This record gives sequence, structure tokens and C-alpha cells, in this order.
Amino acid sequence: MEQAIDTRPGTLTAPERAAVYDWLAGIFAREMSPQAIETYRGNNGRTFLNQMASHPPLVPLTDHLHRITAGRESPESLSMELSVRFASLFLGAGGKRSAPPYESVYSNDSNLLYQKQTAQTQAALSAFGLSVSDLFPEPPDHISVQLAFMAHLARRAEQAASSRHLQEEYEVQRVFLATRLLSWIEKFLDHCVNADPDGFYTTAAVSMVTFVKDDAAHL
Amino acid sequence: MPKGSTRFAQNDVSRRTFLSSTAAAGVLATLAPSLLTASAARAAVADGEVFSASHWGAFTATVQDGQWTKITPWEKDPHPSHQLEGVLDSVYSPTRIKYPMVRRAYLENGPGSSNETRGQDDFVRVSWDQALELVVKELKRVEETYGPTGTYAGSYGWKSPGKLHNCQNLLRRMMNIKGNFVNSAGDYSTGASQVIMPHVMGTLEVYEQQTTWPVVAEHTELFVIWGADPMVTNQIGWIIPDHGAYPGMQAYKDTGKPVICIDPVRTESCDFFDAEWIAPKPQTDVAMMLGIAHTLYEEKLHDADFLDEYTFGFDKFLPYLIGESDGVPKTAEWAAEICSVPADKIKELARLFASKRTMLSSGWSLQRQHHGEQRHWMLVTLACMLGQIGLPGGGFGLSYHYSSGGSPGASGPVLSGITDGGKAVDGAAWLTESGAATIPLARVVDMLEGPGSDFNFNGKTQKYPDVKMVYWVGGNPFAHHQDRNRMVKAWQKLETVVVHDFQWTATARFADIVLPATTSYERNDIEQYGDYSLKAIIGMKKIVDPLFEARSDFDIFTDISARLGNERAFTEGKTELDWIKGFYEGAEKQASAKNTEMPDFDAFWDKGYVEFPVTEEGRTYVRYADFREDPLLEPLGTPSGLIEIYSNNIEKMGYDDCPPHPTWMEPVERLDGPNAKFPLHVTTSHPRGRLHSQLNGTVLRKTYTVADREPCLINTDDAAARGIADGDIVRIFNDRGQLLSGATVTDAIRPGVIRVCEGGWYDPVEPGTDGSLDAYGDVNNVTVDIGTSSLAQANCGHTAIADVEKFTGEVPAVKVFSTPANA
Repeated sequence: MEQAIDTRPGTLTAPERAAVYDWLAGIFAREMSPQAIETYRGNNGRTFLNQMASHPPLVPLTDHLHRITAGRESPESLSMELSVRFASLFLGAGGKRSAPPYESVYSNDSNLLYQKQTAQTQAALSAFGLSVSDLFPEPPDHISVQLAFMAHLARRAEQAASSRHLQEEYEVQRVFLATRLLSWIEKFLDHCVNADPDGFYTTAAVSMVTFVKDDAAHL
Repeated sequence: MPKGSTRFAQNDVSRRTFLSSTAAAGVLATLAPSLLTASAARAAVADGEVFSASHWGAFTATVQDGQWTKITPWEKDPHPSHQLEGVLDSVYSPTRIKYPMVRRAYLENGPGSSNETRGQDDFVRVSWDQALELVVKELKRVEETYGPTGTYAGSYGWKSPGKLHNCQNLLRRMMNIKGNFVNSAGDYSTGASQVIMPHVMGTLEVYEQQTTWPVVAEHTELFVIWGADPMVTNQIGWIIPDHGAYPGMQAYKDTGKPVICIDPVRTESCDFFDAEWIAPKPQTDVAMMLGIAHTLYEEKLHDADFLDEYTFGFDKFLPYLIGESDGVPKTAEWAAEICSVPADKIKELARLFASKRTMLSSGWSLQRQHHGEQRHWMLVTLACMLGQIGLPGGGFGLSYHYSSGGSPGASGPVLSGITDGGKAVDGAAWLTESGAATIPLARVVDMLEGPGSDFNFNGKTQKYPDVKMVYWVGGNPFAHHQDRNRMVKAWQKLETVVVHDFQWTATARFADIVLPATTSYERNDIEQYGDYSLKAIIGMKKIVDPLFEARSDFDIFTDISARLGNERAFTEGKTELDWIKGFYEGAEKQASAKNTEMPDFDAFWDKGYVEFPVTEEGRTYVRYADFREDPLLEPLGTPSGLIEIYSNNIEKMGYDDCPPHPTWMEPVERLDGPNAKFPLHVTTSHPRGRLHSQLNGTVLRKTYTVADREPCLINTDDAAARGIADGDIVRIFNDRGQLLSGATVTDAIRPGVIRVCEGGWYDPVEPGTDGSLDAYGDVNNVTVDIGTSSLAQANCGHTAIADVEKFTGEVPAVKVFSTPANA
């Protein structure tokens, strides 16, 4: 066993966990661009997907990505298809059922944005000197911000100077997962399933939820 | 599991090499943008309390952690509206438009693509740059291809208050500087009255100060509310309401003097005043008024001296009233046959009105009906026969239910606001005739259906332009326009529809390019308090930063103007705060001319408001007292200078649907009318829990929906005859459309009438399909889309007959609000 994973029972290294969290954050942050589709189709992208697929919770997502990028559809056309679903599910467009990607929506009877969960996530970021980038004009309780913050925490843990510090870092992660992501991502997934049962983003949400739960179980 | 999984699972990648390759790490860097930065949170407004204002009143917003958490009415508001809660809710609604969005087919294939699927198509996000380039390119293309009448920018609706962020003016300002466009005249509230009243009274009448409530409390002996619910509708104001009508109404109530409500519904106001409720058949008010007038004349209760000195043309009206001209005396018995109010009651009303100082107040529902012009004309005629116009507490009033007409006034200055940049034209600003062409705004669908065809409007005959592009800001025509299915079809003709809004309204869903505007709580502005009283000027301060990528309409149009090379002309080099300060300083100059002190701008902005005291003159104002005092020195703005019961100008127009004196004419359809095809009238009152369609998408809905739908009041007997129980989902239908609604079975509505309030968000089960069932309850699915007459061409939103049945099919979910709870 290598030093970095000595003190925890999981199967992924800290950089690996950070990479998965970052990747998932990116998927829910923005529509998939034609360039991203080209990337997945390239050799490096294939390698990347194969490596991600070695972690079982991510297999539904890597399978789905492989399937949709394997065809001959142009990157622009595929990007458009995914963008439409993204807008309908996450951007509130049209009268179709949606899955707003914000903790506030699922944790209050009002179903409103910008409730106390938004401020609480901001407080967690602030405690580490972080804030949401100006290039991402979304509230802090957006799914991608919470996932990106977990990536940040995972990378920090890697720097831990001692085993005791490492345990403290894990505790921070456990608390964030328990109070934030785990409190709502299954409801978010339910909404994705209802709105778009076979869609790419529902598969992504399945993998995301499985991964986060698995990660929490191993912390 | 899809096939690929096997291959991936078998792939020989060890745990050790997971993401070990530099190449894979590089891939990740391209796929996962950096979402977090090592810095303090985005500059947000400071925590604390912010004073601001809205259509529902002035309020204090509590901001905590950069978020707006609480809304508290201004302590000086005598009667805060419960709707304020919905204001906060609307800002944080999941149905906010977050980014610039374009309809997919439009983005892929350009203007005019797959128009038939508007309203059901998908949208995709684009950058602001791309969105504005699309808008600018299209503005240019339409102008070059079709000329100045290719674009309709007569956008109408209850935009937010504020002298700067007046999105309608900003749109027309951008268009005027660019070139020309098709404009609109009038509004959906008072379209008929505001055109007929200048012929009759020489003023708009509907938007003017009333004899004040203190005068009414002191002098009025009988207050009549004819087709209005002032307890409900005074909650809102076109600017910032002072709610002065509420203490006024309370003061009158406290005197114990009587109130009569003439309405198909026993309204909240009727209950408040413990009033006598008289419920004629809808749309028959002119007949009922004629019956009262006939009784007054027959029993010599009319004021012949007043008619002689202050009015013109009673002698030409009289032959009609007594039947000399058409062989039909308009007796109480004749009226009773039409309106269903017994002849004895009609005669009793005539005697009662004549025996007391009577204020005949009326709402605007009466004139949003076929031949709506006649209603208030006849009401004025009745008031003339009673001879109390200009006396304290007597006469008539057309704005006691709106924005607290009758709230005592102050002598403060009047704030100016940003202009539409068009050339000044003669006549009232509300009948703007700038633009390459102007249509009466409720005829927008006629225009789309019949380019090149003639239409009459207030004495002129013009041709409808051939519009290819519509630009709509801060309004929701898919709520306020009539005959929804006809409209959906007409909209398909358009090559491009651009909409600015902050929520996914039905209008936004039927657009091609949708731009996210800020709410008025995400920008600074300035506005007056008290539509008629002008008791204060309030700084409408920004409460939170713009959400997502929302931008103010001012910023959006500045950017568009810049792309057209017109930025300087549009902004005049001034920022948001420069403009606001300029409006304030203009008011300071006026105040100084009146020897009224005002704090300097910085002190005002810091405090949040400046008040102006109510004057004795403002408190004791009696409408038309001056005219009554001296009709020669204070003539009205009519051709004769008198109240015109007969109009030579209207006679010259020669309209068969708007004769030159008040006349009873059968509307195109009515309850028990000739050849009525359906058995029930549908009345479409202003709702209690929202402002037209505004705030329908908020928590307030919980205060009024029945079975998750817009409520339908139905009389106990009508419900029993149809097996409908309280709380049932019902289907309301006629040949124009159908909607679901939740039944409230009650005796507070007369038999033969159901009520569904206007403004419910259009929620078609099959968007774009002709006659689709509406799942939520937009009553304009069943209303008629014709002009009131050739004179005003106003909407007939209260003209509809239909039937109702218990809905037994599979109940479709309400989707229009996209509330996660429904998913």
C-alpha cells in the first residue's frame, strides 16, 4: 500500500478522488461542448474514460459516454442534443419537468433557490478561503460547486503532514458530505429520473450519487 | 447494462494507474473548468436592511449572508398587502430565466424556422454576446427586408415601477434611435373608457384623482360600487401604492352609511361594507342604467337644471330613453327583462339615488366587454341626471378601486422618467402615436392575421402593417390577451419573437430569443409613492446583486444600441445612478419653485425616501367642483366644454357599433342572450392573490388554488345541476377553448355565472395544438377576441359564455410553474 492511502480503507487515492469529483462537477456545471465531445473521442479521452471505468460507481456514466460518443453524429449535433436536455433539466427552460441542481430547492418546503443551504455552503467555502468563480454565476449550493469543493478537500488531505491531520481532514470531508451532498442528491436524482429517465444526465446523476455514497462509506 | 460495459469492465487498467497518465490528467483539465477561486465571496450587497418598493407597496428587505431573507412592509403603509411575501418568493423562484436562451430550431435554422412548434420547442443556452448578435442581426434584417413596419415593439404589460428601468420606454427608446417600428395605443385595463371618456368628459377619467375619501366619508350618503372590488384591487399600484383607499373605506364604513354593490359576485368589498348585493346578468348594465334613468325621468326626479347648464345633448338622448326614436321606452320593466333585476328594485334604486348624496363608483370590468364604451358613458349620463357631479361626495368615480384613487394628495413635485426618445405628438401620452404605425393594442392578433386590411379606431381608418418580428419586454400577452388558441396560431406567423423577462412565463416559452432581465430588486431606481397622492419619493434600492446572468433592461438595450452604433444617443453618457440623480434633481427644482424644501440627493438616497405633507386642498378635493362653480371659466376639454351626453364627433364617425349617445346593444354573446350557445357567463375578475399574471408562480398560489388549479366560483344550484362538489376539478369549455379549474361551490355568485380570475398562467397539455386543454386555468382560453367597437377597439376580456362539467378524465399535472414538488 502506498502512503497516501494507508490511513483510509477506500480504493482510490486522494488525487483520484479529487479527479472524479472535479470531473462530475464539470459535467453538471455546463453543457458539453463539441470540443469536449472531440476530446472524449480522441485517444487521450478514451484512456481517460477507461481509467474512470475502473471505478465501478462510474461505469454507468462511462458506458453512456462511450455509447453516445461512439456514433457518427457530429460533435456539434451531439452537443446540441445534450445542451437541450441540460437546459430543460437544469436551467428551468420550458414547461417540462426539471431537476434544479440546487440543495435549497430540495431542502425547503418552499422549493426556492437561495435559502439557508446556499449561505451554509458559502460559509463552508469561506472557511477555506474559497468562493465561487465569477465565471460561474451560480449559487454556492449548486451541485457542481459542492462537488468541486469535495475535490478541493480531497487534494488538501493529500498534503496532510501527519496521520492526525489526515484524520482531521477526513472529518471535514465526512461532515461536508453528510450535511450537504448526501442530504439532497438522491432527491435530485429522483427528479432527473422522473424528467428524463433514459437521458445522459440521469445516468450521470446515477453515477454521481453512487460515487458520493461509496466515497462517504469509505471515509 | 449497455454492451460497452463489458468491454470497459474487462479493460486492464489497474487501480494503481487510475488517472496516472499525464494525458488523462490533461483531459480532465479540459473537461472540468475551475469553479472555485481562492478569494472572498463575490462582492455582494452588505448584510443589513434595505428600503425599497414595488407594485405591492414599499418595504424593508433584510439581507443576510448576501441573500434576501425577509420582507417587512413599510411602517407608514396603512394596509400592507399579503402579496408582498410573493415578491421575495419570485426573486428566488426556480423558474427564473437564468441565461440567454434561444429556441433550438431558431438557433439551428434561423428566423422563421419551425414556427408551428413554438411553445413546445426546446431551448438552449447561448452567451450574451451570441444572443445580442442574433437580436441585432435580426433587427437589421427585418428593417432592411420589410421596412420600418416589420417590427412590432408596442410591448405592453405591468412592467416594474421605477422611473429609469421602464422597460417599455427603454425598448421604444432603442427602437426610436435605431429607426422606426409599429407601436401600440391604449391598454388592456381601460381600453374602452379611455377612448370614450375624452369625448364625454374631456379627460381620461379612469386614471385621475377622485373626490377624496374623507369628503366621501363626510358627505356621501350612499356609495355605489358598480362592478368593482376595491378591497381586492387597491392592493396594487401602477407606481408604489400608498394604500390610502383602505383607511378611506374604513372611515366611510365607520359612519354606518349604506353601500350597494352591483356585481355578479358578492365581493370581498361587499362583505367588508356589509353592503346590499344586487346581481344583474353580466353585460346588461347599460339596460339596467337606462331603466333607472327612465324612472328618474318619468318620476321627474332628474335634475333638469344641471342637465341644462352642464351637459350637452340630453335632448338628443331623451327620445331614445323614452322610446320616441325607436319605439322602445327604456322602462324599468324593459330593463328588468334584460338584466333580471326586478323592475321594482330598479325603480327603488332610482328613487334612492335621487334622494341621497350618491357616489356612483364603477370599476373597469364593465368596459372590458363588447360595446364597453357605452357602460361608463351611460353611468355618467345617470350621474348627470342626478345632478350631483361637482358636489362633495356626489357624482361618479371611475378610479376608487385602482391605486387608491381618492387618497388625499400632497403638493410634492412630479418625478420625470426616461423617455422613449420618440417625437412628441399631440394628444395624451397613453395614446402614443409615435412609430411608423400604431395599432390599438388589443388588436394585435387581428394585425397578425390581416396585414393590409383596414381597421377603424377613434375616427380614423388605417391599414394593419405586415409585422414579422415582435419584441416584448416586461409583459405577458399570453396571459392578458383573449382567445388563447387563436393567438397561438397567429403567433406562428412571426419570423422572430424576442422576450425579456425574469421568469419563464408563457410568453417567454412562445418566444425565439429569451433574455434574462433582472427583477427590480437587483437594480437601483426611483419612484413616487401614492399614484394619486404623490405623498413621497422613494429610492428603490438594489437589494441583491443580479442573479445568474440576468442584466437590467437598461444594460441590455445599452448593449444593443452600442452594437447598432447608438450607445451615446441611448445612454446620453449617463450611468444608472446619474439618471436617478437627474430625475431627483428635476423634482428638487420644481419643489423649490413651490418653496418646498427637499434634502439633497445623497441625503435622500441615504434615508431612502422624502415625504410631502398632505395639503388641506388635497384632503378636501372634490372632482369637478371647479367646473360646477363656473362652467364657462373652467370648461371641460370636450368640443362643447360641457359633459357630452351626445357627441357630434362620434356621430360623424358613423359607427354602427358606437352610436352618438349611450345605447343598449346586444353583445356578441351573453348569458341568456339571443342564440346563446352556452348556458353560463364566465366572469374574469382581477385576482386577490396576484397582480394579473404576476406572482402566480409563487408561494401565494397556496392561498387560493383549489385542487392545485385556478379556482372557479360556481353557484350552488349550477353546481348541483352538474354533479359538481366543492373542490372538484372541473372543465370549462366553449368553441374557443377549454381549461381545468378547481370548483368553489358558493352562493356568493349569482346563478348562471361562474368566475375564474384572469392571469392564471397558460399551461397547455399539448402546447401548440389547437384547442389544447389548459391544465392550470388561464381563463383567456374561452374569452372572445374582438374589439369593443370601432371606436376604442379595446379588449372584451369579460365577454364569454361557456359551460362547465366535472372533469372525469385522467388529470394532467400542472407543469407551468415547474415546481419540483410536482415532479
